[in-house]
Parts: sequence; C-alpha cells; structure tokens
Amino acid sequence: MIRLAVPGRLEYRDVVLRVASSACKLTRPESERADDFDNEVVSAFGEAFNNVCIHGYRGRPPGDFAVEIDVEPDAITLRVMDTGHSFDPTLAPGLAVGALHESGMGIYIMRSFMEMTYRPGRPNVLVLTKRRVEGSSGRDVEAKTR
Amino acid sequence: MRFSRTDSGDETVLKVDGTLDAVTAPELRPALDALVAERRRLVTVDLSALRLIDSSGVGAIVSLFKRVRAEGGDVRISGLRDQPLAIFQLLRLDRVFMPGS
Repeated sequence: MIRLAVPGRLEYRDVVLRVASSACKLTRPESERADDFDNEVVSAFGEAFNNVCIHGYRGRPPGDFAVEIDVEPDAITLRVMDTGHSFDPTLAPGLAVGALHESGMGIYIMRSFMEMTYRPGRPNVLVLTKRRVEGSSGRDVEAKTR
Repeated sequence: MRFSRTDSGDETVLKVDGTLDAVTAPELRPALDALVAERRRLVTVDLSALRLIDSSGVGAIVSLFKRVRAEGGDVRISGLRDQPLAIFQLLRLDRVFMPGS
C-alpha cells in the first residue's frame, strides 16, 4: 500500500497527482504507455483533492489530505481521508452533459471515471476504484453493461 | 502553466501549456478577461501542449466562451488530446468547441 498525507491546500495538488499517476503505472506492464485508465484515475482523484481543499476545509484551518492507494495488477483503489466539512454525494447537483457549466462538475467527473463510495465522519472517507479491462477503459465497460 | 497570445486580424490564438487547474486557472483569468474586454471576434484556444485540466480549468474556458459569444464572437479549441480530451469528451464539450470534428 502507498500512503501519503499532505496539508489540504491546493499547492500540494501536483504532488498528490504525481503519486497517483505513478501508482497507475503499477497496474500495467512496464512496456505499456499511459492510457485512458491513467487519464481517468488522475482526473477523478484530482477532483477529489480539489473538493477537500476548496470545500472541505472552507472557513477553517486546513487539515490533512490523506490517501491510501492499493494497487493490483489490473486495478487501483484510492482511499481519501479528510477532517473537513463532509458532503452528501446524493445531493450533488445533476449535470446536464453538454451544457455550459462553469462549476459543479467535480463529483460528476469522479463518478463517471471511477467507482465511488463516500462515508462522512471523522475522518470523511472517499473510496475511488477503477479496474483495468483489456482493450477498454472501465468507463466503456460500465456503459456497455448498463 | 504558461500561456501566449497571438493576434492576427480578428482572430486571437491563445496557447496554454502545462496544467490548467484549480491552482493555475486564476492566473489565466486576467488574460481571458482582456480578450472579452477587447471584444475579440474569434478566439482559438490552442491546447496542443496542455498536459492536464480539471473542472476549474474547464470552467475558465466555458466562462470565456459564454462571454465572447455574448459579445458576438466565437471561441474554438484546437489540439485537444490525452487527459484534456478525455475530460472534454466526458462533458460533451468537444462538440461545443470543436463542431464537426
């Protein structure tokens, strides 16, 4: 398991995304290049980080952004923990795809690119999981099985 | 994030390199505001060297699009690839900014 904790401030965004990107490399043979899997994991995880820094710690001194990353040969799980304001993902505003939104896209991106569960508490725990499927990103497979 | 602006007649090409996210989008805002204030007719945002974008970066570009369109102009995007392309495709914004592609 990979463990990382940084202050929940945006200036650490590049650090945590580099760790997630590097972890994605462990889910594929060394000879293969970054692909949709990596792009989607980094996108979703980046939105999770933004959420904690911008909304979770709004109006209070920022606590930590902690993540535990489990890597398997064909999957990755990122368990994000913070002590900020919690949120109810079921109350997240819907997103009319193709509409011209300027905000409110983060949870939609997380949910679309990865399996997502959230448990509010001390700490809040957000779990993002993605499985690699040969020849396709997880998102494509989910769409086909609906 | 780095950006450069090139004007040619009615068209402006704004090239954005690196990462456009919650950290860097505020740095780009003044340049976007200037394009709106100058009522540029056609703005092409060249993202061929953009490595990473998040919802904040998308929001900045959508805001530019709305404001330029409100002044009678248009905004196009060129060079989308890799992670930024995945985000624009997910949000179906590739159809907005790259019609006919």
